[in-house]
Amino acid sequence: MRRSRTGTFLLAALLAILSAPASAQEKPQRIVSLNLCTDQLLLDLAGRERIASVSFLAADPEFSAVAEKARGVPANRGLAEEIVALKPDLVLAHKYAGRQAVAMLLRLGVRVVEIDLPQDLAAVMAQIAVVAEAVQEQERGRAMIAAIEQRLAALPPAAEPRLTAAIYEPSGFAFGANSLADAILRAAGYDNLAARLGVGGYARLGMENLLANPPDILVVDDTAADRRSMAQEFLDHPALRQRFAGERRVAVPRRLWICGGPSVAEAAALLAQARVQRR
Amino acid sequence: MSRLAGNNLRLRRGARAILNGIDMLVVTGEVVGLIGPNGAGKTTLLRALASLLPVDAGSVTLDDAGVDTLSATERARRIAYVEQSGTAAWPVSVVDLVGLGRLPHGRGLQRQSAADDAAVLTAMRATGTDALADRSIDTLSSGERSRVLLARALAGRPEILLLDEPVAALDPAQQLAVMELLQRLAGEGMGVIAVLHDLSLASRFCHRLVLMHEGRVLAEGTPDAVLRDEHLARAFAIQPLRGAADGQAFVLPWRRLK
Amino acid sequence: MRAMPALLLACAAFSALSLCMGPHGFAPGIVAQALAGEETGRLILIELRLPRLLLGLLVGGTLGLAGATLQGLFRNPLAEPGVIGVSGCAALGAVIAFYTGVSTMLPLGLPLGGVAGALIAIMVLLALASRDPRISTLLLAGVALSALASALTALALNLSPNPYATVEVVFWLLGSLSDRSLEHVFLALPFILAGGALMLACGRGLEALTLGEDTARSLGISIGRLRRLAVIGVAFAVGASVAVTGAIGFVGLIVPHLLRPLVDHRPAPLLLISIPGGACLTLAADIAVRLIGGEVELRLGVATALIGAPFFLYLVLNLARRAP
Repeated sequence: MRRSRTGTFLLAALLAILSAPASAQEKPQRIVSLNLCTDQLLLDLAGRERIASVSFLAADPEFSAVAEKARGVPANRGLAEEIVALKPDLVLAHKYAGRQAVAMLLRLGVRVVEIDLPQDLAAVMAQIAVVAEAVQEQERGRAMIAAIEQRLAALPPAAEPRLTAAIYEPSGFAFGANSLADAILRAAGYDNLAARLGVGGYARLGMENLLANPPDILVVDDTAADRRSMAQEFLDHPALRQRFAGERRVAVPRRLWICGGPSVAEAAALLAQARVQRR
Repeated sequence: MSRLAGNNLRLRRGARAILNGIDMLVVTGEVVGLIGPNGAGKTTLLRALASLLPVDAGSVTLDDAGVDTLSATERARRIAYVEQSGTAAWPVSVVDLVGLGRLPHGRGLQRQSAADDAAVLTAMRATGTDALADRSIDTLSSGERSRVLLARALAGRPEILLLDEPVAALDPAQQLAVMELLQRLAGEGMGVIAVLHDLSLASRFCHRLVLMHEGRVLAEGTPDAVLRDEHLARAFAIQPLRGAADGQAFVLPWRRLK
Repeated sequence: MRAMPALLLACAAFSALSLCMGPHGFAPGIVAQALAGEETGRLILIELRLPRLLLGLLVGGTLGLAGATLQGLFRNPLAEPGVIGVSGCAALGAVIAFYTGVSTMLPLGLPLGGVAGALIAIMVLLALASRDPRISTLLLAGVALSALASALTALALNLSPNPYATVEVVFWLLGSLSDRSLEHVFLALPFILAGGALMLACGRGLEALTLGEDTARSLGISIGRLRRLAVIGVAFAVGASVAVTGAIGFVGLIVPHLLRPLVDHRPAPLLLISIPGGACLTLAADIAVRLIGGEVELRLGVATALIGAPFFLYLVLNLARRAP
């Protein structure tokens, strides 16, 4: 575990250096983020005055853990044209989104730093380091990592046999093995039921399957209930309400487990607390 | 005895008067031929008499009571209407189609009463369609179909029968058969109005004729009185050929007038 | 009507099979568990599989009956709630009611939204059909209505603040019975029953209409009343059905057409027999989508369109050949 974390660290640092060999010393002054996950790290790490734009999701409290901080920051929808117009000196992006915009920015010689979907907590720490390095706020990055590690270390220890839990998303999607949410569940002292049922990454776990193999705790984001969608209504199905009533249904906001960052520790803390209450 | 009358019927479509103050009468026991050139307003008049068309002015009465005072069912029981070249939307069997004539008599949708069956059979026999009973309507010739549609109207045993060109699609033998049937029905106490184009059939088989021209009644009365040269010249712009056989006069369209 | 017992039997068989179907194929163990009083089995059977079965019966029966009603009313074998745009407009109405939150404020908001959409569509079609009764006009108007309704549905979903809404256009346009609850059954049930009763009351009128409007009226049928019965009946039942399951296409086309010869082509018995017919076809399609499987299930409308669209083409060709 420790060795792999160090390895990822080194690799990430290397990548960051490779993508930014020339201007490592100068602090970028017009930073644009194209993706919710880089938005959040950027808003936490860099000063407001250096942020030219973040994605439109950054200010959405359902998905963003730092929606308050994003208020007033110009929002973008990841379109190449609007990004170029902002004349950024650094663009933070995600490997799986906005590919065309990124390609055009690279052709124009704009410095682009990309992060990947973190699949474990070590990757989260590495990502924080990469972004901190890119925005020249290494000190704040180290402090953030330390705070997260401290908070995770303070969680109540897992009791064997572990309780099972599943994070159940709108339309019946679940986080399985090799996902950040899976890492959070394990850090909080649970067995991830979806991973045990063979769900990999983020995939659908049918309601009947879930009812037939019920976890001890069902984690659901109930905060978005006022924004109607069939997907959200799915989580209100009477069968789920009956099977996972009271303490077996734990509400954790979705924004805490979507991206790597300090919210990860908060999610783990909420989940661990629910576990202790249930015991 | 019943009488259906249209009194001073008027109907305009834009600037054109389609019915311009028409009086029309049929009593049980007679066959009235409604003749006139295309566009004279014959079909419109027939539809108005059948309460299928609201008129601007005038009234239709059955036995001196306005037909609008009758319920739709009551009206349908007493007055039957057969449209020109009617078709069926679905390939139903002949016996089922004729059975539709029993609808105003409260025929159940699933089962027909013995009276319904008897009326349907009588109507099919009268029109010579009983042999077609189980055939699908869309397999019939146009002549057979006309007779089936007539049978449908007869199945309701109406007092008044309104027919729009009942012999249009028929071969000569069938035309004679239908006209003889109409005479027989009148003899049995039905009142018939038939729109006809064939002047010889009209002159031979109708008790009375009504000649329409440009929304008015040009002439009315016995065939002899209506089919006079000046009437035919004015309405159709033709000169007829006249003859007689079996003690009956007949008229044939012979020459167009300039 | 001789076919009625056989159809009811088929319905019962498909119903039993439907209850035995899990999301990934045949899984009758749950039924045994439920009968043994086991909680998980009970929950899955009563709260998941039963609503799915009931909606299949109700919505399938509705679509069959509505197809038979519309075909009789328009005297046109191609009329069908989906083809002529009624289902699409019902989906639009339901989408507006659902995503604006009207359905949460108003207890019956969701089905009422669907009913309103369906009602508007049929009124437009009737107005058009009265001016120009040709089959092609009706179908082209239906195509236009459908296209407009699906565009507006996509627009409404795009404007919704919920990011999941955008992809849900698939549910509304293709329909699904999966993961519905008994609440959905109770929401739609009163409208489906009322609409069904109104449509069944059209029998006499549709029989008479076989011979055209004039003859029907001369037989004492009020065409205005018949239209109102049919329009309100179809709007109620189809509107509420679409509001809880999305638009499932072609059931109303296939079923009356296949069953018509069994009732000697008579419109009135066709109404009655199209109810179990529609239910059977819908249940069979719903069983098929579960047999095909996949984690994200195939939409029911995809299955019915796979059978229905070629069928539709065949009918169009057939009609073209008969009326040159």
